[in-house]
Amino acid sequence: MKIVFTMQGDGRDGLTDRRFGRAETFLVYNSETDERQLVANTAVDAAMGAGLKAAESIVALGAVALVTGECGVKALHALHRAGVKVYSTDSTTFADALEDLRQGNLREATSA
Amino acid sequence: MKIAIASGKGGTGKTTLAVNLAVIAGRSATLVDCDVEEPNAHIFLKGDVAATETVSIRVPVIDENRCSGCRACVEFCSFNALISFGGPPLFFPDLCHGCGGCRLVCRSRAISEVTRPLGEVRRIDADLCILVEGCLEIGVSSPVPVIKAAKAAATGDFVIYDAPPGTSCPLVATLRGADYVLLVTEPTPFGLSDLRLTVEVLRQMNVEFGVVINRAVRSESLIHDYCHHEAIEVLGEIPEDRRIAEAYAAGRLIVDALPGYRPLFRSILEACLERVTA
Repeated sequence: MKIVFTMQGDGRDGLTDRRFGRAETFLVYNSETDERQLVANTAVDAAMGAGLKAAESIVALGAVALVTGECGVKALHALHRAGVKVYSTDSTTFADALEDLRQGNLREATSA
Repeated sequence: MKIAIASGKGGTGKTTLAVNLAVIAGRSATLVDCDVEEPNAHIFLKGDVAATETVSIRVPVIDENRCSGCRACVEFCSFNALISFGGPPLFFPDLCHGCGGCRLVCRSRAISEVTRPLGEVRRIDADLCILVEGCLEIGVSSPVPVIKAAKAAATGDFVIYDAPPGTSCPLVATLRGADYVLLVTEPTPFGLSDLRLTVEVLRQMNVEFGVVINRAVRSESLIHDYCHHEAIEVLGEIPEDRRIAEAYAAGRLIVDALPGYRPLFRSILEACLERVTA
């Protein structure tokens, strides 16, 4: 199962980004193999609709879930249409966010 | 002749200057309220609505049975209004600019178009001049088509555009075609900061402009220093005067409530006209 986390910079520092569409990097975590892969977010500089473009990208990466700070209403709607679960986290590091997800401490974002 | 009144920062006195200049210019003047997200010139220029026009764009509708999922429309849309997860695309009307490109690139002829209303343009025959007001529909986030329609509805030889605040697309759409721009600012760090940004926009657009300082106080030379350094002309100063604020709050024109200020507005108007005809 692939889970995408939004990361600051190139993601190597392990710091999460609260933003989805404007996060620089996606960390794709494979929960079966524990593999982690860093992928640049090509939507980061989009004039408009960065969240939608990013949604398209993570679905193409095979994500079934997204862990981020805030996800806008349009991106959330799109991700739900694609069957991707969206979790909100306040954790500032990937390690903490992953642990919270494992413990079932993250709340799932729902459409307003 | 077309004069635009802009500022960058909100609340510096664009509308105050615009409505008073329009009234000084008289019956032959048309004021276009291009601040379509929050038009307010009608508070000062009262009159009956003579005509109303709906502004809309054409947006795509996708026939999912015909769509091949080829993504041609998704790749084409620079505003990401269409996205696809493999099947027929999802459409997000908020982001659509109505260019019609998706329909043209669709090889399966799966895209047709429907009308999406964005707002209204009203023509008001005010007592002292003509007012054309653009008004964006609540919840709509694309003001530019409404601004363009409002400008197009302004007939007459002398037109004043009251610009929206900010320095992005709505401002650029307002300024396009203007012969001269009056930049209203206030002698505060915020006023100066946004003035600088707006000056950058105007220089890129290659439009002539001058500055009017509102709420001017003699002890503050912030704006004068900047204008001197940048070789920008200051065409007038509206002093900090509590009576002006009181008139404004009561929805009154300064030139009516405080006739002593008429010569000031007349001199700003004349300075503009000279710069355009020179």
